[in-house]
Amino acid sequence: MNRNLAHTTAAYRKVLSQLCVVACSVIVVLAGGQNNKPAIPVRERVAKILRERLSDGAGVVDGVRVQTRTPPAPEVRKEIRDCGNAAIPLLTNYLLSENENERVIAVELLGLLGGSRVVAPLKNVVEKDRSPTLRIVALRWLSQTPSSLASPIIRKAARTDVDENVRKAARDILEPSIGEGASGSSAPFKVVPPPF
Amino acid sequence: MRVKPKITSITPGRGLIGNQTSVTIDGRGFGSNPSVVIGGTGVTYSGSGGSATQLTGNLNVAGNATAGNHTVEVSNKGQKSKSVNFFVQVPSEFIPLNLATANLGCAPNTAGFGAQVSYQVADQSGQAITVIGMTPQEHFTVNGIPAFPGFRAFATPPTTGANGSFLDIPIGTCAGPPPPSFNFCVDVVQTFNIVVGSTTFPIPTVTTRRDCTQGMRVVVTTGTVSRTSSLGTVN
Repeated sequence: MNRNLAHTTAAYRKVLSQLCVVACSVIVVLAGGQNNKPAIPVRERVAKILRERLSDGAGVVDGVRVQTRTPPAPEVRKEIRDCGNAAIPLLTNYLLSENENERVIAVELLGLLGGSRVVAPLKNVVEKDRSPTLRIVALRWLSQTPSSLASPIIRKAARTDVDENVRKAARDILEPSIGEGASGSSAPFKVVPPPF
Repeated sequence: MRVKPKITSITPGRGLIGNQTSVTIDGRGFGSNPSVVIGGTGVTYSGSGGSATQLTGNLNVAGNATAGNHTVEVSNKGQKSKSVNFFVQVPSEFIPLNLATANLGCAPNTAGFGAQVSYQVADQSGQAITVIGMTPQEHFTVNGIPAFPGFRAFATPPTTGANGSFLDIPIGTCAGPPPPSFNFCVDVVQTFNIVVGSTTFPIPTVTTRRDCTQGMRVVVTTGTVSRTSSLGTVN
């Protein structure tokens, strides 16, 4: 009899304990639902950042729509970093866009993400993008990634890129030197002949 | 016999405010337990080793240190050397290095002319500050209207390289759609500051641009001189 009672009590305790776990879980979920906004998928966040960057600096002057190239706001820098690794394949897709403006922004956002994770897509830009400027920008962002990964790419660009300005940009990254004009206010403001 | 300490050189002789500079002090008579005394406010020395003829250590320059020369003396067993100077650099100018064309990457059915400008950060005596990691920031107006509130980091990458230079790429203004049938221009005025550690320094350099769809004129007034360069056709 005592044995049966002990058995029953243990069973009750087990059921109560399980009920408590379920109840606590419900409370945690409800509390979490109240405190946290529903997570926005990274795809939408990246698309929103890109849309905003594409319209940043836009206005109307004398009836003409204009857009002056504008650096990213601190909020954009934070938002793209918050997106983390999941943003990389999405941004990599934008690198294939026919719209150069989108590719410029995608390279910038990859650069802001930084780290070894962005080396492969930036390498792709350096080796394949048709815009010399975009290749220079990608090289400069690459200079911020781990040098063991970036150096071979930059060295190759310094040797083989078809555009002299890109080769020079790569050389400057590999061997930084103080440029003309650095040692005093009488130095020239050099104009590089248009390469394109 | 005691040898009076003598400093023959301190290398480098200058260092950035709000930063730590590794220095080597050469001379003689430093003994086995010298002390290094820095004059003025905001600069301290922390030694990492040395000998009777050479000391190595760091000069820690606070963000609010006095700009310009600070005396450096070595004393050993009550005898003090004559001083040499260590110059505290304050970012004071962006000196333009070159202007080149660049792809602006305008959206389809718009037109614009792109360029890039590289700058060197210079100190109050016009000398280059060859320090990595300073963050230049800009604010600009387009035809007098602010493009955004406050200042934003604008270099690519956002901080200076080892030689203290940075690149503003690409710059320019796209017009349209539809693209204007004439050489449409707007006036852009860039103002600057630079962040070193947690301290922001205003930079009096102003870059005035005329962004046209077929060219660009860039006038950089560094604070002491003004330099003008143009690319393409500017109305």
